[in-house]
This record gives sequence, structure tokens and C-alpha cells, in this order.
Amino acid sequence: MQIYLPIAELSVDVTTILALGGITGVLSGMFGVGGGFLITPFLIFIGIPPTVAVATSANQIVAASVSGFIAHWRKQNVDFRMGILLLAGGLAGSVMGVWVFKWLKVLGQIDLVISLLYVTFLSGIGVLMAVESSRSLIRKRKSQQKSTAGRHNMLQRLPLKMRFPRSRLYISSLLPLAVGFIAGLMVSVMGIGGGFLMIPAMIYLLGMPTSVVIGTSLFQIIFITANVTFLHAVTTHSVDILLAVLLLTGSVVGAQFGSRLGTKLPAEKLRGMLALLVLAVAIKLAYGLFAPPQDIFTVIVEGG
Amino acid sequence: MRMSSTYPYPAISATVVAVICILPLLLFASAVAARTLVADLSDYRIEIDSDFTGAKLLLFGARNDTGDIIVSVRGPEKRFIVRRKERVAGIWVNREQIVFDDIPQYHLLATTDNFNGMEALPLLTSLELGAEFMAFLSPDSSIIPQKRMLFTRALLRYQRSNNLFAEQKGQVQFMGQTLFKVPLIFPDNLPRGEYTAEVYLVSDGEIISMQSIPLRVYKSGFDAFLYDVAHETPALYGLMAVMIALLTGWGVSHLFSKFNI
Repeated sequence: MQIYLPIAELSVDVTTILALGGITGVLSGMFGVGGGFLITPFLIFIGIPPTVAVATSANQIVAASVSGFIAHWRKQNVDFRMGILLLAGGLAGSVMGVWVFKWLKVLGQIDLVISLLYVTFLSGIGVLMAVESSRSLIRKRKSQQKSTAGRHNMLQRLPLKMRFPRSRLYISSLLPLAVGFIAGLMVSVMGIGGGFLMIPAMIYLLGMPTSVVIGTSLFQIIFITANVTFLHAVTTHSVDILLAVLLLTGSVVGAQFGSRLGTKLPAEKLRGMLALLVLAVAIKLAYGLFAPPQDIFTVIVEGG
Repeated sequence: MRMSSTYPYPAISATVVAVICILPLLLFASAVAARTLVADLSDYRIEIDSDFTGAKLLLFGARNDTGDIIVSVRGPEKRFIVRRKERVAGIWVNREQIVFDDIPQYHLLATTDNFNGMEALPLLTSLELGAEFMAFLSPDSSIIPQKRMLFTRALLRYQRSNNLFAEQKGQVQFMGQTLFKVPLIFPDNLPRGEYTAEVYLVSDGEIISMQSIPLRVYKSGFDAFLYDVAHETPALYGLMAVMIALLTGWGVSHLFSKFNI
């Protein structure tokens, strides 16, 4: 069944969109990753203009993240204190990000920058995670409880320390602010939920326990993507509500299933799976940068 | 008053008088002959609603003279930016761009079967009938023709692949000697705006007659409402989008907790 999208200005198949939403919803609930990095490229692939894909994807992520977040919240798996700091940094970062996005669009280099960012971050994070989780899978369970692998002493010496009881941490408040800021920046520019940046950062840089990471990440994502959706709507008028509603119908349901699945899996396995997923996406994007494009010409239409 | 050789008006001969009387008749006759072409559309509006999967309008008319029929439908004109990628340190990057102004977002050309494009080439070019004859104007006049051609070809490729530069050659049918018709087929991604359908009667590379018909493509219903809100009151639209997302997320979560755990 076809439906016409008013902002994207073309017709799409309803079942395809619902299925796409569903799959990304499951990923969102399971890994705390909003699935944006799956949705955005797929929407572009089926012919939706890239700006609309990015903005609408952000809109959809809000819903999926709320759905997943509530499920984690019911299980007390959220560190609100940490979440609020991450959020504060994230809001600042996302506002700046929207301006950077607009500037890059005008330059005509937005696609390249997005791809480069994806490849850099994804491959870096993916490698880090793959190494760490394979190490911990080999290690015995006992010593896993207090794993602080990847945290350097330098980070311990940063000022403005705060207590985070839920995560059992005493670290500088500058850390979550910085992590949040960078993630927020990336959300605006890349059209993703920022989860796959935040979660490894939370585990390795902040040292949070895996059980709390996903819920807290979702908490932050809700506000950041809501902010980005709003900013994109106002600056580029490219949020397609109809498309977003279709996507989120599938994804909120998927997120519910996903978060239940996620709590049943052990932390190392979860990280391992996420590492593989991240690396796969990184490789695909890197290939896209180096491989000759289908058409070396791109055409943009502007209201003249 | 007396007639003299200094009478102000020269003697008017009978032939001149005759010509003066017949002239208006001749003009009247040619005025009638000028209506050698009439054409009309089955509808002056295309409505894009949520079920829109394209449209089909019938263009029909009559001619009083021999010749071929050319139909050209043009949409609103926009600025097109064409960018070219090059390999920089192994990665493909956008390097050059050419901006083209006043390019129609949509163009459809339909002709009769026998129409020979070759002999009417100058005509097609001057009237920009057909995508390949468009005047690709660019503010930058320093671009060399060969490079410009590469970029215009890219623009043509892009529009054609999106079904926005279309051709229905040979599809204008004659029914008998006078009447003609052609079903104009519009794609589902038709841009909204004011369009013009031009019908030409062409013979030996010259226009015999021409008629222009306006066509409006607009969005209706809920879709139009969304589009307008998105562009005119974007803050409200943005808030709406976020609220819907928040509520759905919460709503479904609530539903699940009632039936599951």
C-alpha cells in the first residue's frame, strides 16, 4: 500500500517503512542505539532526500528512545544524575551541530563530512569495543564486576568531581558534559541518536556499569533528538511527520521487545554484538567513501 | 464652394476605393483563418493528495491546416546546482559546481508520429522544446563549453531518471484530418506549482499556430496542511513532531506494561 509523504514529496510503501521502523526499534531497545545509522541511509536509498531523511530519522528516534527508556526505567536501570549532565552537554552540542550542518550544506560538503565522521568514530569505537569485550569474555566473571578497562589516570585528576550513586562513581562532572557535548554535535550533523557514541564513552571513559548505560543513554537521547528535530524543522523545514509516524509505529513496538531481549543477555555478549555491528557499519561506510560513486555528479534543486 | 485644381484631396481612383473596401474583408477572413489551432485540457488542476500515484490528463484539440502537433508542459522554474566529485587522497569529494538558473522543475514533450525533429531544429532550440534544447543559463559566464556540457548532461540525467524530464514522442494521435489528442502522463513525484501547457502547430520548420493552457498542480487535504505548517509555522510544526513522538513512545510503553511485564 502506497502513501504520499508531504515533505519528502514522493510516495512510499507502507509495509517497508513499518518493517524498517520495527527492526531499528529492536536495536534501540537492545543496545540503546536509536537505529538512526540504519534508518537514515535506508531512507536515502529508497529515494527520500537526505535532509529529510536525517531530520525525520531524528524525530523517529525520539519515540523509539522513549519507549525503550521507560522499559529500562521500570527496572531502575537509569542514572538520572549522570543523565542530566550528559543532557546539558548534549543540548549545547546539538545546537552548535545544527549550525555546523547548515554551514556544511551551503559548502556542498555535508555528505563527505558525515561519512568521514561515521567512519572515524565507528571504526575507532568498534575496534575498542571488540578488543575489550573479547578480552572480558575470556576473563572470568568475578573480576568482571569492577572492570575499568580503558580508563586512564589522567581522567581521574580532572576537577569538579561529583558523586554518582547509581553508577557507583566519583568522577569529574566535566567528563559527562564533554561526552554529552560531542555526542550532541554528532546527532545534529549525522542524524543519529548518538547512542553508539555515548555507550562506549560511558562504559570506557566514565566507567559506568553496563546495566545502567543503556537506560541512561536513552534518557539523554530523548531530549537531544527532540531538540534536533525541532531545530531541523525550524531551519531546513525537512521533518516529514507522516514518514516519522510510520517509522515510529514500527519502532516503538520493536523497542519494547528489544529492551526485554537486552536485559536477558550478559553484558559482555551485548558489548561484543554491538562492537560487531558498529564495525560492520564502519566498513560499509569506508567502502562507500573510497569506492567510485555511481554518478560523480550530484544535483540539488533550490527554490529559484 | 467651387471645384478647382487646388482641391485639397487628390482624385481617388475607383480601384483604390475598391481595395480600401475589400481590405477589411480580407483581414476578417485571415482572422478566421488564424484559428487554425484550438486545444484544451481535460482538467486545469492536478490535485496531490495522500493517495497520489501520478496523474493522467487528456490534451485534445483541432487543427485547420496541415502540420505536426508539438505539446510542451513546463513546471515552475528553479535553480539547479550540479556538483562534480573528484578523487582526493583516495576519497571522492565534491570539488566543482555549476549553478543553473531558471530551469523548469518539470518538462514534458509530446509530438505527433510523423514529426521530424531534424528540420525543425532551429525552432525547437529557440522555443526550448525538449529537455535537450533548454538554455542552460548560469551566472558564471567564464565556464568553458565542454565543461558546461558535462554538467548540463548530468542535470538532464538526474531529471530524466526522476521522471521529471519526460517525453511522449509520437503519442499525439490524429483522429481523421482535424482532431488530435494525447494522454499526458504525470509521475507521482510531480512538483507543486503553476504549469503551462503549450500546443504548437508546426509545418516545414515554422510555427503555424500556438495555444497556451494554464495548469495548476497543488497539494490538498491533510498533506497540504502539513506542508504549509512545516514551511510557514515551523516552530509549531517542530513542537508537534516532537510531541507526537513523545506521546507515542510513552503510549506504547504503557500499553506493553499493561499486557506484559
